[in-house]
Amino acid sequence: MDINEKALLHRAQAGDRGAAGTLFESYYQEIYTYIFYRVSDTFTAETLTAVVFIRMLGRLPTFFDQGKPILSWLYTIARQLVIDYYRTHERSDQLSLKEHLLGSDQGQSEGPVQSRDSLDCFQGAMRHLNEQQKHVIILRLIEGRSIQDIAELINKSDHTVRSLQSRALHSLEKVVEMEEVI
Amino acid sequence: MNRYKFDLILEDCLSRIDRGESLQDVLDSYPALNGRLEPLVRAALMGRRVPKPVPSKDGFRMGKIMLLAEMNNMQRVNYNKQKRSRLASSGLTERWLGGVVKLFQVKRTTSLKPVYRFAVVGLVLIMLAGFLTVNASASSLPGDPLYDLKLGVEQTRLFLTFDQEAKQDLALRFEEERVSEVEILLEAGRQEEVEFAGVIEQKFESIWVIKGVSVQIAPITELKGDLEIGSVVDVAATT
Repeated sequence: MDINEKALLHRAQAGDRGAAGTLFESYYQEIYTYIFYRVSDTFTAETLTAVVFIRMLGRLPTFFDQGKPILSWLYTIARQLVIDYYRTHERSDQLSLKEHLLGSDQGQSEGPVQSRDSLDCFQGAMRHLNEQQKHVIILRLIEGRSIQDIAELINKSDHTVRSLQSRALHSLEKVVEMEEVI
Repeated sequence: MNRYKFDLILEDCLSRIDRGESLQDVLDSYPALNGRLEPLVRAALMGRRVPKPVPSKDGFRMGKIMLLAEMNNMQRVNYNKQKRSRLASSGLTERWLGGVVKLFQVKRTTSLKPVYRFAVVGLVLIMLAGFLTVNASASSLPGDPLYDLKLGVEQTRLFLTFDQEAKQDLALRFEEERVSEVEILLEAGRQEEVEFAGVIEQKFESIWVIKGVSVQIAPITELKGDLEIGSVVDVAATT
């Protein structure tokens, strides 16, 4: 955690609304992206993202700085929240992202044909990934983070992250192969 | 080749592509692994083409409002807890009790006849019971036995306040108290019927934020008049 992050957290702990708002603005996109690929629709993703930050507020008084990035802490909260969400709704973690991504502005700007193909394959592959593989793929491919960054964010070694990435890409590749056969 | 080394090589390929090298150049560096590497690297490139989801502006704005509303709620709840704790530990009740005990001790040292002594004690006890009941009702919540007494005391105080400005201040304080009660009930997970008034601060699908409190609008909710953001409304709901 850098000095700015520490200062923001301390201010938010002291009840500073501005600091809480800045934390929200700084990490909203990352948390939204993660949750979006774990749940089935934009509304749920937006609501759960907001709840992550509300849970963050609730845990601020007992937060103990272990030197890790705030985002790592937020991902932990988000992961638990998604688990709670599926437990409550008794649904499986099977995604139907295509329509939602294609419905978003950015999805359309990428070009419908290319986006649809990519999304088809990506969606299919994601169904075969476990939770950690999914998280690594989101951070590595969609957010473009380095292995070292990811290792720090998800509290794993570089070696473990490379291994998760490799296994996830194998699943992704299998789906591509199946699509070509079909 | 063991898995560890293969994972390192795969990551090297992806990093080099990130730095701008072509797929062919990268694969040419590992001719013996070409067949294994190529489909994985292509799969990664496909994943990179997937657009990053963009949250809606409304979702972002609403999320931030919810966060700040929650912060307000937490601060209010903490304030109420501190207030209750102060009342419980060093409040009026103990001071009055101390005063009554002192009075009783003083009376015992005088030469009052037993009948008058009992009359004084009886009077003091009646006054004390009344005071304690009113005092206890001040921290009661909707659904509590003393809650109606609390509302009655508030109405009496309003009735007996003749200065218009002071009356308005008092009415505002009582409205704030209604919202605090709702927050305490929500925090305690108690289900009670509540009433409060406030401005509609935000409307987000079936969730409206009214005076910092999130209110679920159900299909059976009776909505009277044009209820837009900024409208002042009376809310009758269940926590």
